[in-house]
Amino acid sequence: MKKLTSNFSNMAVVLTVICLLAALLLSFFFDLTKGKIEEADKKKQEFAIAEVLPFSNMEIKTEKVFVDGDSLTLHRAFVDQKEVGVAVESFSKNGFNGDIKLMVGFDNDNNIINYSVLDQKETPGLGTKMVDWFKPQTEVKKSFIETIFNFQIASNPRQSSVIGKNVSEPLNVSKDGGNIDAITAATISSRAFLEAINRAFKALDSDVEWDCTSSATAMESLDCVQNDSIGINVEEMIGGECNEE
Amino acid sequence: MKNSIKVFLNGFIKENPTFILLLGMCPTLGTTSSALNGMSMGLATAFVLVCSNMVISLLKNLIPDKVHIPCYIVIIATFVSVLELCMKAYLPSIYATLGLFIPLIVVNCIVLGRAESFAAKNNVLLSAIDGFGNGLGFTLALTLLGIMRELLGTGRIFDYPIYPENYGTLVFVLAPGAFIALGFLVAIVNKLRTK
Amino acid sequence: MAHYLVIFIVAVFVNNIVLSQFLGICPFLGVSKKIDTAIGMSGAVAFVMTIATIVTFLLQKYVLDVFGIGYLQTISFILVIAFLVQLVEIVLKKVSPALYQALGVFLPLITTNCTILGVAIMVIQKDFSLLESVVFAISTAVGFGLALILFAGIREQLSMVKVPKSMEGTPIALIAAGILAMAFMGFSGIVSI
Repeated sequence: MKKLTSNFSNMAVVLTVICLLAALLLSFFFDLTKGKIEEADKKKQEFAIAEVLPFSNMEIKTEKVFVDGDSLTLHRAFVDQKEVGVAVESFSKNGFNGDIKLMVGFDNDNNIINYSVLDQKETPGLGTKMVDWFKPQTEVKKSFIETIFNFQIASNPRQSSVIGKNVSEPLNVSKDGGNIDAITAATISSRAFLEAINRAFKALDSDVEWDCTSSATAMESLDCVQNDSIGINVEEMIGGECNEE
Repeated sequence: MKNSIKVFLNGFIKENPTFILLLGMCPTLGTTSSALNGMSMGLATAFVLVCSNMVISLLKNLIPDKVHIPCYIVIIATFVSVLELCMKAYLPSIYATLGLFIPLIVVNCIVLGRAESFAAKNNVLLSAIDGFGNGLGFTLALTLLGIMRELLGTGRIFDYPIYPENYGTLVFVLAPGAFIALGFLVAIVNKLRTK
Repeated sequence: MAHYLVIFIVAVFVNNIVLSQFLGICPFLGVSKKIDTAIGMSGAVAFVMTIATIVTFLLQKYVLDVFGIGYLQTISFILVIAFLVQLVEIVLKKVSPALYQALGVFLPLITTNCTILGVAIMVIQKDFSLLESVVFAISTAVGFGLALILFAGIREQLSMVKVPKSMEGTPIALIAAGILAMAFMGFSGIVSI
């Protein structure tokens, strides 16, 4: 076949036809994948809820609450009509590289069952460690070299698990006077992570009045000032800390 | 047969798009923080390369010369969008990691370069083989760089621990390490070629 | 106002488009051998990026979103950018021959410059307003220019240095870029958007 010449009508027709065909093909693929894409999004959320609330046959009821003017999503889980726990979608805007989104599961006594990181853009190898850093320390898989030469380098013990903790006072990294060890060389990411956990707790218990974003300097001043205005149980807790300091 | 093997090896090794021609540097540096990411990006690009090469070679006589660039861009962009939709549906986690670099395959010079210099002049089968060879060559380069960065940075290859993570040099996973690792890889390839 | 300043600082220093996002590496390595050409290229990129971002932003908000055809984003954006580059070239030739003299040679290279399409998609992903998008586009272009001109300065010096034969050219340039990227890492984390 001979090559089409570059006259105006040829060019216009060919370009239009190619664009139309492209649009047609894409709309076909869009319809084909639309259901799957929605399903994938939904599955991601369901997986996260199942990860932080390990109950079988739960029924989920979703509601929205407002914390400091931001809307958070709560997924209350029921087994046989009885509430067994809540999964809270929480966030922090103070990440190293943007927003951090978490799903945090609480039992009926407001203890943290588990958490799952939904979205984060932290530095790979540093802030990204939050995915399992704040869970109980597990045995590190033996590396190839360790297996061959039959030795093991012990990993440093750390106090960083938030699992099982009751967030009746804001959690803080040890640098800021708290008792959670921050990720090595990623204190900002760790602070943001704990802020998201604190915010999740605040969504559960609207009586809490402390600030989720507590940094080193904010801590000292805030705690003592807040004493006057907070409910009794929180006041005792924070009051004690102020005296110590 | 002999010809097709030659075409394949030309793209795969002899004129490797990354190491020899130094094309498509953005995804090469941006997506190789681990071996798996690098390989996924390479395969995604290979898919677009094969498809666009085939279609362009089919339509080469129908496209007037003066509008060939816009036509090629539309064809490439179509396959990129198809890839994007399919990845969103079936591989959402990989899509999330590669992010912006998937739509940016459109402006990857390798794809348009192969369309211009090969698919526009050869038949469908050879164009497909050329796309496949170049795509695999690109994948090879990205995987190699990914392995190097992951091993030096975190002590792992494809997430299998080789040495304890504490002894890794984290900078290789971060932005500066990408430039430095690629610099040394290209230097090694240069050295091997002059021998 | 402070908000726009934050966008500016993030786009220029913290998330520098070349040195931490890895976009626009081809011109970064290709036209950075001399400071003069680096300045010309940066100017052309700034010019096209600002216009392209405005046009693609309006296209997304008033056409793609309205008709629910977001899946045509990539294809329509790249067409608009290719068309725009041609248009800018023709208009510039007529209106300001002096500017065309300075930027003209770089314009055809810009269609396949991934920073333009990258920024156009990024402002949609980040959900910016039109003004924010414009500020972001200009700042990104400034960041691109800064990296390019700094790097051109380094390379001019580098060309006088004796390096091992296999490291000559691109390899040593890449390693120098790595060290420059390391310097820019010092900015990371100061602010974020």
